[in-house]
Amino acid sequence: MENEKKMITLKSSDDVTFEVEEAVVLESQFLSHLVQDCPAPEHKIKEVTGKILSKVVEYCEKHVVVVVDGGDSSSSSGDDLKKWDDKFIKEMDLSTVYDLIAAANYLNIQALLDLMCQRVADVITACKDHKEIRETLGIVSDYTAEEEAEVLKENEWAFD
Amino acid sequence: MSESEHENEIRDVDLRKTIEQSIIPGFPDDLAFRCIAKLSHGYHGMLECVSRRWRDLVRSEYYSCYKAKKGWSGSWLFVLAEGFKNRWVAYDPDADLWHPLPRNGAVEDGWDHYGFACVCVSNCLLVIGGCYASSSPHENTVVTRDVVRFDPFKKEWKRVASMRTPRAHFACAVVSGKVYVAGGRNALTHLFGMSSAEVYDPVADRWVELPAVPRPQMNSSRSGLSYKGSFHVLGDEVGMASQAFNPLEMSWSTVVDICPPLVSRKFNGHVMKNDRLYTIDDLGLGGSFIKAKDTDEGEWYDVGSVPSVVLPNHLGEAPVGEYGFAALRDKFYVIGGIVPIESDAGRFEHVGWSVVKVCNPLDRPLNWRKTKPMCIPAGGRIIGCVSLEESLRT
Repeated sequence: MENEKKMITLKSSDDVTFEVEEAVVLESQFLSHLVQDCPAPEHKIKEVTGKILSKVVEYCEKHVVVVVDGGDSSSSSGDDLKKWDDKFIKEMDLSTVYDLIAAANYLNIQALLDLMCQRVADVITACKDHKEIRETLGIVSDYTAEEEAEVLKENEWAFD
Repeated sequence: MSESEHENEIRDVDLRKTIEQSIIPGFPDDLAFRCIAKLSHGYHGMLECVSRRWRDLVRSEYYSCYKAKKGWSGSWLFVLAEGFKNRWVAYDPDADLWHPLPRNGAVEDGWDHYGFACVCVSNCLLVIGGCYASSSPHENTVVTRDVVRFDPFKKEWKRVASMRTPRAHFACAVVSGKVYVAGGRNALTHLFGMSSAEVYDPVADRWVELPAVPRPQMNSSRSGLSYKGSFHVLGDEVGMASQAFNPLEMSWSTVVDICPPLVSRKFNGHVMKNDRLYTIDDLGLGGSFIKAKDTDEGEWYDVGSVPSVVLPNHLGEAPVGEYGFAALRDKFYVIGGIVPIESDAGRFEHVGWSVVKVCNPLDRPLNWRKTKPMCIPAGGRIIGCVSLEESLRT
């Protein structure tokens, strides 16, 4: 019997549709449950825009492990996958990163969530001091001048 | 608990109290929290300076517990340099950054602490026993039973159960999650070491007396070693046999010395992956050499030397001594120390050194590279040095 791949259509909040293999959908715990509980051919994901959903699909398609007949794995090796991940997150602006984190959290895709959170952490560690962190993330300091002087003194070793 | 339940838990706990500015503007707090939890401890000082909100977050117990649960608390190297007012410093290998720990309140100002043992067990640093010496000549040196614990998750020092016997310059090692101590002296005037030995259970926070060491030694500092499930107390003189305590049989036995007949016994053995043993032979002005042994029956062989130092304004290389030595994540660290220099009058003086070098002992010849130097002014003679590799709390 032919082992045909089951296809599923995902529709974003702004009605962009993506046709993906079921295995890709299973990367998301949220979508796995949705597909199991309601076997419709198309699923609307109201919380995620087409722009972000395309990134999610791109990521899941790359990460899905496809076991071909004969036990040979056509999934990328760990190193390649890491390189791909690095490239995937490199050129992304912060607002896309935020949206993708929110989507990964909503769809419950742990690996993607971790990857994107690490990207925010990397942005923070690339800053040379607390002022650059504020500028980069748009944070307004709520310290009084005295408090700030005190916390800076406590942490003077952190800046060399 | 599943990941998703965990996320929900954060959302509930963290958002309930949020009326202030969001952690990162334009981004939900639970997710921003998750991103900041990824940052290792070396960065925390900088994070605290960003805003009140960030400071409170980084200092919160919730933050440290969350990191601990996720296995994101990272690796630590704890170091105490002599004359640095008992202020420990810590190294974060992920960030390549040093930072001071909060003050250890167990040691009063004006007193020096030495002859103690330091080990890491149950994801905490323990500083055990030793003596307190006052800078005032009118005060006597006191040998202590005190044990203090630094919890890197909570970032606080706490006094835990004291040893049954005060001791300084004793052997100490962690075997199967318990801390074994043996010998040492309980008064510095005593010429002979004690035969007393005891074991600490960090979970029960309790010390229990062990059978006495059959042949006590005078100075057992740095002679404790955990090897193949036993607590070894290495002989303190060349040719003197080691004694090993087997926790299963609860008894001591004399064993073939597992460390080579070194000229000095300044460092004990270090056990790395696959039971490979390393040790250092410190020849003072002659330099220090790292030796290794691959199997029980194998011979000791030279791996390489601890790099010597070229000081600015001084010709030639000088060996570094009294440095800290630790193994962390398959790498060796040589930390600080003192370097002899010849003064104008032709005498030797020692200068403190804060440089830190690291190598992978499997890459031969040893390829040492510099990490960030210790944070000011923690260089010089190192009297406490131990590494902590995080294990997940269950």
